[in-house]
Amino acid sequence: MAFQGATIVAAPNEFKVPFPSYLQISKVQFQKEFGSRLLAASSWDGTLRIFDIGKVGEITEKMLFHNGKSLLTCTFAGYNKIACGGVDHNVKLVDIETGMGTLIGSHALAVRCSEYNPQTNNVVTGGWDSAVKIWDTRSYGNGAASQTSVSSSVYAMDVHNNQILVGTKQRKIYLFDIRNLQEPLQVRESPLKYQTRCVQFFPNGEAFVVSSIEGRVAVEYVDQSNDQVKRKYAFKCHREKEADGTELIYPVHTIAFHPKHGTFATGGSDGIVNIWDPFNRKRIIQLHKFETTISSLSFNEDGTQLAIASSYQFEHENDPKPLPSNSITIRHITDPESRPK
Amino acid sequence: MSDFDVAFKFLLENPTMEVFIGFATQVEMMASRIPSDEMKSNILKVFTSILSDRKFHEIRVNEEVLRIYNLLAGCSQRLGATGVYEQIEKKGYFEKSLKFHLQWAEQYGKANNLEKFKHVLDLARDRLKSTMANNKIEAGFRDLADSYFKDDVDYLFLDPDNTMAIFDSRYIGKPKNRRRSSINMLRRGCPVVDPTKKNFFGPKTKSLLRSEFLDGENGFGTSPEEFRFALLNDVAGDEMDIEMDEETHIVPNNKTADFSIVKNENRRRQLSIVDEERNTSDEADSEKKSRIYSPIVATKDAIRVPLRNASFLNEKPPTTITLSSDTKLSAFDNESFGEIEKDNNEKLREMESGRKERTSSESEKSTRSQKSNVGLDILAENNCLEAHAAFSDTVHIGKERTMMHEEHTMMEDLKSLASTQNVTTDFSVYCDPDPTFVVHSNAVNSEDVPRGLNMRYDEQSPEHQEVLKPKPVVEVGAMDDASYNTPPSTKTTEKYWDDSLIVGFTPGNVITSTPAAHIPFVNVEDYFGNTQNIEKPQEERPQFVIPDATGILQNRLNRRKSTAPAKQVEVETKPTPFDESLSEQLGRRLSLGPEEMANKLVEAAPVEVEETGRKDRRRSEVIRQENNPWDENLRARIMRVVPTPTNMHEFETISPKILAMKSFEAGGETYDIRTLLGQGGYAKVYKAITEEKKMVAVKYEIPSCAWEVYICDQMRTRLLARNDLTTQIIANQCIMQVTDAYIFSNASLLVNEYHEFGSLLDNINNSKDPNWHISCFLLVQLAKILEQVHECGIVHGDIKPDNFMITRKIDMGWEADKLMGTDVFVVKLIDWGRAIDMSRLKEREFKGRAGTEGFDCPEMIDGRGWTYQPDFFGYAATMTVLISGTYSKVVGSELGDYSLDVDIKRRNKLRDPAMEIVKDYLNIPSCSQLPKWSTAIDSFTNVWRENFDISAWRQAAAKFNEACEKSKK
Repeated sequence: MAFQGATIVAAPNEFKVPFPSYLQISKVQFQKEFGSRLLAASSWDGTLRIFDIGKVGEITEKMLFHNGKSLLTCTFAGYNKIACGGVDHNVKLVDIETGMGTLIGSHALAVRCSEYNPQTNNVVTGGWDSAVKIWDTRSYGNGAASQTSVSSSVYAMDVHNNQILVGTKQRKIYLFDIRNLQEPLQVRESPLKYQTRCVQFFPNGEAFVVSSIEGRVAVEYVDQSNDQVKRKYAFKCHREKEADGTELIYPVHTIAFHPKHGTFATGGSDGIVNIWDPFNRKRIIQLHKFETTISSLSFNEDGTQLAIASSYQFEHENDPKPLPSNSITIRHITDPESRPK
Repeated sequence: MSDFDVAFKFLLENPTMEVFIGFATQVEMMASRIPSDEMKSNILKVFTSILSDRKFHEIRVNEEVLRIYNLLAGCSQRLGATGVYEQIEKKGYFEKSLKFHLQWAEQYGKANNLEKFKHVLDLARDRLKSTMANNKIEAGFRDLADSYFKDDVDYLFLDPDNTMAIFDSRYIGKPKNRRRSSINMLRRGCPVVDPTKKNFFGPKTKSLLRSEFLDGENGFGTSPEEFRFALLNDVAGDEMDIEMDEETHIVPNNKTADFSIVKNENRRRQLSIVDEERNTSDEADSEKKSRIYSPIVATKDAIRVPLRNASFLNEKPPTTITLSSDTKLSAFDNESFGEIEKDNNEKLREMESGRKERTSSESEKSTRSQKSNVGLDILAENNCLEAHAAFSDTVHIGKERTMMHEEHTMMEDLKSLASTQNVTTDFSVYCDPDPTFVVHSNAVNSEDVPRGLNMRYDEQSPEHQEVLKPKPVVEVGAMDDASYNTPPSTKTTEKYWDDSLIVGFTPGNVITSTPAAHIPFVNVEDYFGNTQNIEKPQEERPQFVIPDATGILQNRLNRRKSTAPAKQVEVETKPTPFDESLSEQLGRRLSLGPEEMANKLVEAAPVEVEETGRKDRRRSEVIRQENNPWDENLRARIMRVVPTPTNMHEFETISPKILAMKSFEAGGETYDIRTLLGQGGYAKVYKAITEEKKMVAVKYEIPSCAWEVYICDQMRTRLLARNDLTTQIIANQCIMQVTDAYIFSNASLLVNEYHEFGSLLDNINNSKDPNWHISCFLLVQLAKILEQVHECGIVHGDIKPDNFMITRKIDMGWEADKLMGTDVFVVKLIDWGRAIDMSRLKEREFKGRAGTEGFDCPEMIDGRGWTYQPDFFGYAATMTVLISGTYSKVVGSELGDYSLDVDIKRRNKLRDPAMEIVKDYLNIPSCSQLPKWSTAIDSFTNVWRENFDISAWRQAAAKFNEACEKSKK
């Protein structure tokens, strides 16, 4: 019997959200409005749920919207609306109070990603049809405010101020200005050699992080000038060393930035959540292993809570039997756990 | 309510189409998780409502219902799948549904009934010929026929099919699925990768991923979401529909509308026309249309960039397949479906003809492995290739810079840090194994006068460090009393000890009785700065408080399993919660690789342990060069001697995660874990419910502790062997019994009886100022139990009020005599993790501390050897708590002088006997001069006999029972 370092953790800092365990979660997102306690979760059974997350673990379901077909993405769009999209190609805007959804438009294929730009009140969506579309949440009904296409299916997207970051199937990274979609600001090859899973901007918008299915994360700078380019780097993560010396590699599905510290959390198929300090290039903390693949992460507006969606994505050649339970856990994150050293 | 009930209830309250679609998906997801008879009864419930209730009249005839029928067919035994569909046919809802006919026919296919299959095919043809083209109708049937009927079934079909060649198996070794299934369509678009090769990512790598996600020479992999979507489609039966063609799309882009991501319509039969989408040139038109249909071809105005790299043409076309299921259509009315179809067909023909001209010059280059004659394929492929060509000039930052720099690799040394195991041990500070897995730190202020006596830790008093003379090798298994019924195999004379075990352990190795031998521990509370707990005032607590030096308030729950010995090295507390000193020591090391770090820790261990800690390390578990009765090797050897108890199940694997409100399954049994009852140093106790709906307590311990199972089993065996009424009762009622044990490689799960009335400590806390009757009543029992335990040659090692459970309330009908009699017991001794089996360790003495803070017996404090003394001391300490309601400290400085500073009122009848016992049990001259339990038993029994007062007793008993109620969990 091996002695393990029985490490110590403070009193319960983790709470589970009452979520049906057999449902697969595609995305979780905290509302970023100041003082908000809302968490949205979109699921493969076509439901969009919003929860009210209390500070001491009391969690209640506040809204339930049925889209019908599976939802792949959701994003809060202002203080009282939430956008969602999925395999039925539709982009819907749902009122949080009433739970009523309105179809504001659609893509030609499934809507894969959605993000919100509060400055311009725009929801940006990307789909498997290679299109990136912008929707105005205040006036809709006439289709997308603007749209463009990228090299291939959109697999990842993030929005920061007026910049849109898109990761595509062909491992290209696009940078757009939201005000002019026709002309991408930049198009570059992904720094990673394998399929892109997630892209996220730093809170200051000067750099971004890309993750792939090959257990690797890269940090790149928006500014392409020489000295900035030198600063970029990549590192391996979410890998397990096996007894025979080989490395078992897991995809990194999700990245979430701490809104204040500029540190970020990654979640992978290994069920592990790591929090990284990109400035010192170190890992700050690794959370305990969750039951299955981490499909989505989201920090709340002040960085004190991290929503962790653990949901098997059917990404493995051999599905585990029995299928793991899916869950959303709220982990309270303290300052030392998220601050750069 | 089960998940299903919840979902169904919601559907009943909200009978909309969207909710139903979501519900159907939910049921499909649940299907793999619940047994089929339960699923069947659930589905039948659904149908009773749907078929009869008026509010479902729309849903009833919608094709989405077929998904549920499909599931029913899967679990229907009596009717059989075919029977189910025949019933549906009778209802007549789905005469116009192709999907229905296909699903129905599939059942006949599975039953290998060609006759009926044909019948359905004919039916479908007849019924649907007005709404769709024949080849479309037949396409799905063809696929089924290919899958299920070996013989040539061409004759069944009206439209010739010469596209068998289309169906190359582009995937190696994958199960033969229906070719038209979404998954297969998806796969055909993926680059070919040998799935048996696991090292996709390079030599010495492994991956569990599906190979479909990998990029290859001829294309890019698909994403997990697309794959999952295809899976769902297959389950939902959507693959049946022809509409589920792959899609191509273009968003007309003013400037560079030159690319199109194209699908290869492989399963197109000769003349079948793909449902191409409408041209989005009329974008201004309702978005509705464009969302489903967009042209396969760029708008006429689009500029086509000529192919640059002709070599592309010789390769297999990269096709990205995205699936559009017919879901879009279901959003439409069924009526419009046919109409749109027709228009598209026409459009396509136009496009096709136009296209053919263009490609004639390239036709020989564009041979495909698929001999499809459909012009659209070529068109599609061409466009795709052009797109690639166009993009080959994409600006990129420069290969050498976009690729990862080895030197900049973050934590490159940690590439070997893959195993989470490593991380745990090397980055112990930074890992967070289980959130509720609290180890209570008993941080003591350095300012405190060291408890007890001189010895704070062994190193400081060299005079006590003499090594015990190595005892003659003891033959494990040789036991004096043959009545212990040990199996014959144990009577071997094999020697189990080797020198190192006896003499001690290699210096420098910190031996602890609990995990984490050489890793300095951090008080995580300090580290993570959870100050909110510290803030709570002490005054709140009633006087029955465990002195908790950290001031961290522990609620009752936690105290049930009282704080385990903290083998931690205290880190100097600084004002900031974030512990800098540790960070200095360890944090810098984060930049080292795990091996280096581990090495550093090991070499630094002795130093670390002394320097980063405090000088007065009263928690020293350092038992160097002495005998450690809790040594794992020792225990293992002892355990090997007896056969494994039958209720113990050992697994090589890692334990499944135990969390509250979750089910846990092992060894064929399922336990429904409910709430956390309490936690200790390295164990958590949960309340759980067995399959038979029985309430149990599950102790989850990391690392695994099979020892406890062994000891409980041995106790029971030895007690029962004595054939004495009292011992029988004690064996059955007063000793923890492990009903089932699951031992994993990293943790253990012990299932035992659940006691709703909590522990003795809970009881004390819930009763203010206990009457002497109760204390006396209990103390006698405790002594009797311990007497028997010692008779069996076992030292419990951790006697304290938390470790006695109240098994029942006092029966008010018991009379004075009976109460003191031989067979009344209301307490049970639990938590045998620290027990020592003296019967196999004859003439051994131990040294050093190991108990809970404040519960170290005098021998441990002043360094004398001990065997059974901890139990005597524990009893005395417990006694003081019972009588006075507070813990007491050891006072005195030498043998003969030791006492407990308890304050018992003079008028308390138990005062004198108690103080006597304290004197006796704390000043034990030597291991061969142990006191007797009968001292305590007789003493208290006398007090009882002389002073018993029935009414006082009644009152006291009632209060006791009330306290039981209050402690209920």
